[in-house]
Amino acid sequence: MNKGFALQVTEKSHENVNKCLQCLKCTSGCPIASWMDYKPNQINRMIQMEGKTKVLNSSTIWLCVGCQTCVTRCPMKIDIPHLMDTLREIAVAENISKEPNITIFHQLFLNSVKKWGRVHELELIGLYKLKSGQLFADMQLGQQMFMKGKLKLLPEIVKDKKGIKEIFKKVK
Amino acid sequence: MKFSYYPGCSLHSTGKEYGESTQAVCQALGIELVEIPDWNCCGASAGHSLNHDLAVQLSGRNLLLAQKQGLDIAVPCSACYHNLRQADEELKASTDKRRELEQVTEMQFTGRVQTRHLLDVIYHEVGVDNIRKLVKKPLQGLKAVAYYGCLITRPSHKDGFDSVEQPQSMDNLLDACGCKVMKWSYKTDCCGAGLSLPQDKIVVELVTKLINMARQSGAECIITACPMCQANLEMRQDGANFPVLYFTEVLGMALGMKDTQGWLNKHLVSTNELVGKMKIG
Ligand code: SF4
Ligand code: SF4
Repeated sequence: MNKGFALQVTEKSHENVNKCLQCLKCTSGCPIASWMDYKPNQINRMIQMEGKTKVLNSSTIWLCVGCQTCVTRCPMKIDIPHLMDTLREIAVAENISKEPNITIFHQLFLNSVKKWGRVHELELIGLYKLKSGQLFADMQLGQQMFMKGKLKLLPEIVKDKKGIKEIFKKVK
Repeated sequence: MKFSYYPGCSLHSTGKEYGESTQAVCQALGIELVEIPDWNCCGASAGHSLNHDLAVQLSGRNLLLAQKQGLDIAVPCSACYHNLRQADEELKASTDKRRELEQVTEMQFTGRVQTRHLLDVIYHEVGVDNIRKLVKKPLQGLKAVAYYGCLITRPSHKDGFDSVEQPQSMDNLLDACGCKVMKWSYKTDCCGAGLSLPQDKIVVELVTKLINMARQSGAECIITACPMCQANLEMRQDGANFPVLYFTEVLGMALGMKDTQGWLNKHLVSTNELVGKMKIG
């Protein structure tokens, strides 16, 4: 048993899962719940029970899209999407991901922002294809968007590159 | 009426027609948009997914740049809107986060800039009555449902501009444009957001449900106010051939603006049949 996980999560997120009533309002309204291996309310209970390994290895923390439906409806106003952010950060720090493609996608997205200040979609899609191995997915779609001028060859670059770099450095 | 304008990355790329129609329609409605100089990406889903504080700081920089302009911000993208508001709230609540931002940017955060969604700005600052007066070509043949998606009204405790579960602003605007606005229960259901590339199957399932429900309501198109929703709905609808337009494009058509065809041509799902019908209707 990994003692102290509940405390670690509470300290990092300032969310108190002990307030959870297990009323299931979050899970009932969650658009992604049917694909998650553990439902949002179960994640709360697993945190309480010190189930660190299971929580960090769940698909749930990666599949949550942060749509805010659960926190909007939760009678105890537990900010589950924020809790998921926190759990993902802990998982990344421990090099764990049940959904590697989602992790790669987010990482490449942020690399693009770090490099240019704004995201360069075409480069992001290309790199993602290489890294995920999904080389031929959405070829036609990509071409269509390119032809319509929706994917630009060159990135837009923020002038204050130093400022952007500073931000990335400070929060790491 | 003057606003600081945060287009976000999508409005210069995948949501180009939203950017163009936003600029044109705002000008016609007397809303002056001044783009935030040298704005940066808000981090989208990736920012808060991997590093919550990074997302706050990235959006914080944009808030400070708008503060320098001395204007409230108008944001057409729901995801950017949510990120900027989230950052604003967290910066107001945490001295540490504020200090971090101020050190990096060498500016002081006053918290006086308000972040508003473009739908809110048009609905509350221009208003339905004024729009009704400005409409030159009522879109009588257009049967539509208004799709708000997740992040325009949520979460509820952050005093939004419309009802969380049953928003009406876009419905009323479309009605003012002469559209036949259909009722449906999927206004704020999720489009799958950032999973579109890494988990396309989930997004296809979510989008298919939305399209089916829109069809069942009698609508012939879905109207959105977010470039991420719009892109997912078009890209992941699995050949359904169901048009998905931005509310600004609908406003543009109703105001009789001449650029509309240029915007509509950029769609991945053809709008020709829909527009053809409208002319007859
Ligand atoms: S809605 Fe809130 S209280 Fe109810 S189960 Fe979910 S987190 Fe717990
Ligand atoms: S924020 Fe995450 S957990 Fe909550 S309803 Fe949305 S997808 Fe589900």
